[in-house]
Amino acid sequence: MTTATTSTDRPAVPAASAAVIEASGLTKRYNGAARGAVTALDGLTLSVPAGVIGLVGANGAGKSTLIKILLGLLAPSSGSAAVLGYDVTDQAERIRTLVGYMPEHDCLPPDVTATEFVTHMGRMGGLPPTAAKERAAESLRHVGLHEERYRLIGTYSTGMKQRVKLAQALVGDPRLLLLDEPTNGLDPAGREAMLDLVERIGAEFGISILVASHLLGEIEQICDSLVAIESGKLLRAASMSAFTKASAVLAVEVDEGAAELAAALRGAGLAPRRDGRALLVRLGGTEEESDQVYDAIRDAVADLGLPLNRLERRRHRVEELFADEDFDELDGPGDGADPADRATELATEPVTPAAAAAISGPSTADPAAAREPAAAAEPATPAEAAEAAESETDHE
Amino acid sequence: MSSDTATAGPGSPSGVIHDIGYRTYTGERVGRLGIVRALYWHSFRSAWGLGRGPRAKIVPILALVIMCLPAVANAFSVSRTGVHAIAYDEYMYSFQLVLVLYLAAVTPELISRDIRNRTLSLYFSRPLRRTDYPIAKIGALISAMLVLTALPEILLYVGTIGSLHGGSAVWHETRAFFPGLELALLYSVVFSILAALLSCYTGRRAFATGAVAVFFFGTWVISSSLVRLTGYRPHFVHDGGSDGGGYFVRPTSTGSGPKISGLLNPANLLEGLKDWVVGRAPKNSDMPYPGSFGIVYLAVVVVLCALAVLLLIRRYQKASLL
Repeated sequence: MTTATTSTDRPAVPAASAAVIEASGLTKRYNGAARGAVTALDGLTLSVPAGVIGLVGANGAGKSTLIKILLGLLAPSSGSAAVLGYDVTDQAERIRTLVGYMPEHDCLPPDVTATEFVTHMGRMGGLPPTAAKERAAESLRHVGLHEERYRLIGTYSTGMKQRVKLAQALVGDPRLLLLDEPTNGLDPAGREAMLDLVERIGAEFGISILVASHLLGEIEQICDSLVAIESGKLLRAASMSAFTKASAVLAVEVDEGAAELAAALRGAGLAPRRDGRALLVRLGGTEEESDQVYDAIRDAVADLGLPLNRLERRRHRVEELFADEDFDELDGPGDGADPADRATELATEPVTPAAAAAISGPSTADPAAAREPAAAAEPATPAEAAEAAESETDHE
Repeated sequence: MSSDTATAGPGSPSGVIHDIGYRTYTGERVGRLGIVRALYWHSFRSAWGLGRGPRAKIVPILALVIMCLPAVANAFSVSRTGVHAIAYDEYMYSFQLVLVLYLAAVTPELISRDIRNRTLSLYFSRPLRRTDYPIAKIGALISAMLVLTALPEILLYVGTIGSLHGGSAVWHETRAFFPGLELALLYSVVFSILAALLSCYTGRRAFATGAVAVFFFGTWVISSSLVRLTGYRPHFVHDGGSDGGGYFVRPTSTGSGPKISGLLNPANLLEGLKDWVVGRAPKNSDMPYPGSFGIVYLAVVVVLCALAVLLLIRRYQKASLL
């Protein structure tokens, strides 16, 4: 038997495609005889750049199916996809040498040590024996397993097992990691640690990462861009920075006279929205626009002589990502549409705020919500939809 | 994306480990075939308990010792009395019990373990193809079985020729030895493939062990009983014209009942096939000499193995395994 030895260089990624993951019209149907046909992915078209990519969707939205198609483990029913510039149907083998995969489910044998297991998995990824040993030790250290790595995996805690799963994905020095629910089964502290680790791998190791999760608030902290799917359809693919910058809101809280202030702000061309005791005012996408908003608020409060209690820039809650059109699309200009346009878009958009809320998962398990008590009580999305519908009629 | 180290320099390998940043791998990578070979070798070692705990070595070593005991006894027997303790081509059939016990202990480790631990998705997310995995596993199992079957034959041969005098005696012995080796290979291939197939449908080690044991023993009991019930009686008529190597030939062919019954168990099947190929049956044989029916034995062996391999490969195409 001859051993085919590939080039000793780092496998080059075709320069032509800047996108790490591309899909066009990607569809996957399962033709179950008993349960009938199930459409897991429905015409998914997206293009995501390098970095940490969040893949969010409720359980059963098609996240795992997408990952398996990207690995070439499942054949798409129609459409095409490419990972690192390689086609998933024709060049799956090439993709799998460049990609590390961490499954959602438990996948570790309990009766071997972490070192043995990760070494074996390194060899299965094509590393020669010595290199596999070295890289196994290194990747286990990178995920924070030191002396424990000589213990049987069966004695590990869930958090340690998740780390081993991550280490085996990392052992082959991938260009892209596909992590399916990496925080699954972890307690809040464990989730936090795992997310830090993922963030660190993305930032320091220069590896692109696709993190699938059903908890938006969780991966929002670490992602450069976000892909949201529901029932196999793309809800949105957007860059996080564009989103947080363009759609940051200012919370204005006055002890009294909130209604007058709202009227004054409307008069100044802003669209304040009530949220409990505060008024939320959208900041513009650019510095200039933001400054104008700040000025307008300052002037309005001063003119009315209201006791200003609080004026703070609030980070957008992730659920609003789906109800909110005011941020850049990844592919497409998507620059500041005027409010009326936005409203029309929102009304015609099949995405409902309810769906978005469903995706964001239980807020109790959401560390982002726990850290932002000020923003915690904000189920204001239905109101916004109503407002949007209203302004649409106004427009006509 | 830099192709060099992403962060800090190499540092000292055993010094302050925390200071070593992430290092990319620029060395050699073996291709798909290299990975298949690594998986084969890893599985072969596991089948003998190597790289596993001490408990995993008990059954393989015990099986090997038991298999070799008759060969060792034969060496003494030949040197003292000149009488062969066991014939080369009866060895496997007589000790099929040990082969089955070994397989029942080892196939769950090789096959069911990855299903139970759901490790398969990790294999398949690497360059391996779906068919590579079962082929590497079957190959490893056959090789491991070959150690168990061929080593006793070799010991038997070496132990015998040590006491022989004269070139013709050695030549005669050698001529009897090679069919024994071929039989060892045949038993290894057929038994391994069937045991692998039986183990690949369950992740539970105990179920796989049970399936292998019940299949081989159960069918052996059924097949051998049916062979007797349908009218076969071992009877011995000396064949004067033969080479006199202790063989007796059935002068009359029994009815087709016993011959068909013999198809029902792998060991009986291989015994019948062997008798047909060498054109005679040993004395005391549990199986009737198949005569012209032997072609059916051959066909069944070939079809059975092909079907089993096909089913195994198909099993690993299933997405539900991921």
